Amino acid sequence: MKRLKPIIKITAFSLIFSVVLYALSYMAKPAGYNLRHIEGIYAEEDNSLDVVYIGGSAAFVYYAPLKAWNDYGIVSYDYAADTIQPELYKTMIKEILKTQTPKLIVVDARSFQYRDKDNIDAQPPGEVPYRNTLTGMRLSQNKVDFINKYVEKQTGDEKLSYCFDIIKYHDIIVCFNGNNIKMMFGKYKEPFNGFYFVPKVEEIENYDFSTTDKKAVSSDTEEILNDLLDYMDGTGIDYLFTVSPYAEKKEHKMIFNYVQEKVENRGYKFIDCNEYTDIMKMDFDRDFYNENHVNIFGAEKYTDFLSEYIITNYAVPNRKDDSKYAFMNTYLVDWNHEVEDTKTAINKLIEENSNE
Amino acid sequence: MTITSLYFFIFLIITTIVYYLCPKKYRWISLLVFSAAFFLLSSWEVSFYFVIGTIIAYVGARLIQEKCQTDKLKRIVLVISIACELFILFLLKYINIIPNTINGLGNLFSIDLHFATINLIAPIGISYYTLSLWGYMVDVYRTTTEAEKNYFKLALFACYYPSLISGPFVRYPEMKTEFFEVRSLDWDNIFMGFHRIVYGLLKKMFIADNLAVFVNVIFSDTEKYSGPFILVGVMIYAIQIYCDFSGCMDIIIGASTLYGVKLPENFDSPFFSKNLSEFWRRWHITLGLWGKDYIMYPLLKSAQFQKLGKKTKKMFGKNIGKKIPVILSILVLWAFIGVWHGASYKYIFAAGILPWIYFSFSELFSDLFRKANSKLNFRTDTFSFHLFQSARTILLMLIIWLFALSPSLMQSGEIFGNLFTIPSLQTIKDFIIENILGDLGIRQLVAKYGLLVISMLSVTLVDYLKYKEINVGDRFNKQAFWFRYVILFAMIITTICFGVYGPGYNPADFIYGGF
Repeated sequence: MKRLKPIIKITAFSLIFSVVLYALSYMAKPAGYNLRHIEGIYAEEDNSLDVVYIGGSAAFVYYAPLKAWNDYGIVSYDYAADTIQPELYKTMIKEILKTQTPKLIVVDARSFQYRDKDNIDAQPPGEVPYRNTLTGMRLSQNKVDFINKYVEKQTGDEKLSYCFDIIKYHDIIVCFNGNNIKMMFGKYKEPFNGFYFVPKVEEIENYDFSTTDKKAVSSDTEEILNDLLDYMDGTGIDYLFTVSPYAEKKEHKMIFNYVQEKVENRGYKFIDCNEYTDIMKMDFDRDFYNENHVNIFGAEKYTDFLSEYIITNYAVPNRKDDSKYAFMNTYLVDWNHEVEDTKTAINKLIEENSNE
Repeated sequence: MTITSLYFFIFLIITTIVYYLCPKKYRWISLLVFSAAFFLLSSWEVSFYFVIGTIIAYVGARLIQEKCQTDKLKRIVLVISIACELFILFLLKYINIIPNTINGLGNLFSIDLHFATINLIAPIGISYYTLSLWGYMVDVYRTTTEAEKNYFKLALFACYYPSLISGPFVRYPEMKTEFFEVRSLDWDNIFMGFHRIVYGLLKKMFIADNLAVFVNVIFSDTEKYSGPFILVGVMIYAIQIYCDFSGCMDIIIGASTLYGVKLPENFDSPFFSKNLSEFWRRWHITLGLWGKDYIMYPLLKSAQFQKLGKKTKKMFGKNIGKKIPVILSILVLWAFIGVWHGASYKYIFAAGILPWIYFSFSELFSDLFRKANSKLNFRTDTFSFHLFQSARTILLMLIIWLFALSPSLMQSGEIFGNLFTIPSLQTIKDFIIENILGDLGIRQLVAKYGLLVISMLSVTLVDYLKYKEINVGDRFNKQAFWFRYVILFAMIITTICFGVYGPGYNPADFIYGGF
């Protein structure tokens, strides 16, 4: 027993230290919507989501899962973070499939346009885009595989701090958010299923983007697209690639045309929703908060359009009458309240702008 | 692989397990393998310099012991061997002092000489292992130790990885027993080593590196951050350099203790010293002892110095005359220490000439001060007098560090000039907003600076207890398990939460790692 005592002490210390480190690593994660959206999916009941929308802000300020639930009975989630890069999609899908078996995954295709640094309005890969998504993702082989493949190559950073967030964010531990504790136990429920409200408005240009010309993406991006499509083929799930409405330009459209062809050749649907803004009745003076994003007015129109498209084209059920999903209605109170508050704020801004 | 990186600790854990799994008799071989791996990971491309250096020492020592019949011959072999070792060191670390000096002299006379500098890569720890091998050869010459017959044992002595990074300077007779004595696993070593590492990490990553931020800002623009900024800056630097270097030593000695190999201490509460002699006996102890044993005392005992002593006694009288050879040998010693700190005149002056001036002054006037004290009836055994002595010692050291902080010896004059100008109120306000408050929230501010003050006070307390000859490590190890681990957890969590590491930071390298 005496010989075992030091080993017991070391084991006890290591265990306590691991628990403390685990807790600290959660406390160190920067509180924010990116973390909440990515981490929030772990709190969703297993196999409860029918649709998951993956992407960047072109997903989480556009598609409102609670509106889709209220109006169409679609159970969905925006699994999205700012400045998403398409190489993250495969990793995100793998992460979703660990706990969910969605009927459809909607893929934000706008990231294929801005990934290549030579393109106009480029937002190429880098530390921030990667961390936005990876920080909320739990440490697993899936996450490590992505880090090994892309982090050093695209950012030049050391990989370790992407695996262990505490190395990056340790100085913000003392200002942790209460949600981080819930996240630690996988109990953080994202109140709007990943949707994010922005109470702003801006009149934006509706450019003439129509063209049938194509512009190839870089070989690097093309490899990512092909790899993603190969992976999708093996999952047995339906996928829909979308370009959400924004101030699209011809140069963007040419790239989307190229990606669309690749995607459709593999049997998946691709819709550039900018072509349907008339049907959506999108108001370019009121429904956007900048050239790249809609506000809640635009989001409602887009959600309606996409939900109808989904129920028409995919076997996504209406769960409104399913008692198993009755809990979804409990979120609607907060949702409606937030929608009204945001609309009021935007209307006030419009009024102020018109008075100036 | 820095010794504060996660990779180092993974390396340390694996090597400790492997070390104790090895048969006792062969454990030194595992240490050699670990050290070789560490060396190659850091400096594989220049490892042949190390091989050459150790072969010179190995062959030189064996020739001295086995082949040289006369003392003169032994001395010749010793001098040649040491000269060869120093040549490699000079070539790799100091060669650029020649073109830099010529170019500098040219600049003084407005002549653009443009002598090219050479960028040679030096192996990790070259100045540490070169001096250790020098000491080994002298020890063999003095018959303090026998020449090692096994080259690999000597190689282990030279490249033992914990002491390779920033010292301490080790001596073969002491390390021989530590490396090659067959010993069993002693759990106390594991726990004490671990405690020491945690303490060292707190000192380096939390205290020193957080203070480095202020020091770097102030000394990057002393024209802007003048007067009180410089004064406070150099005081902060004193704490920074101490926590940096002694923290590094704690990690190194702690890591070595895990293997049961005890390395000599390098610090012993230097800031409580009453005078500079005592300060240097307590600061970088092994360098001071090495210098005395292998430079100063051999010089003093040499025939030339003995002759000089006789002459000076005749010329200046017994009292002053006997001190002149001592002062000259101290000059050689400090010049060497100054050069060892770096191939720059600021180091030669700050870490060599200036301490020598202090010592010479003290040596020449010590009798006078003693007499003055007794005539003025100063009580020198009081706390207040000790406090005055410590403050005086620190003040003298601050002057040295002010030179060391200057970009060059020429520019140190500007810093001393700026010391007497007053910064604008706006500068003070900007400094506080940008460097102290930053974008920290109130909780972070209170936690970070509160813990920084508590940690510095704790280090002071530990040093005071050590000064009072209380073995803090032993005492701590005898405390209740829960008490020890609450303290350790507090130190670990403080270091994890507020230490300077990870991307977005600019963690300072160990200051003495650069020497």
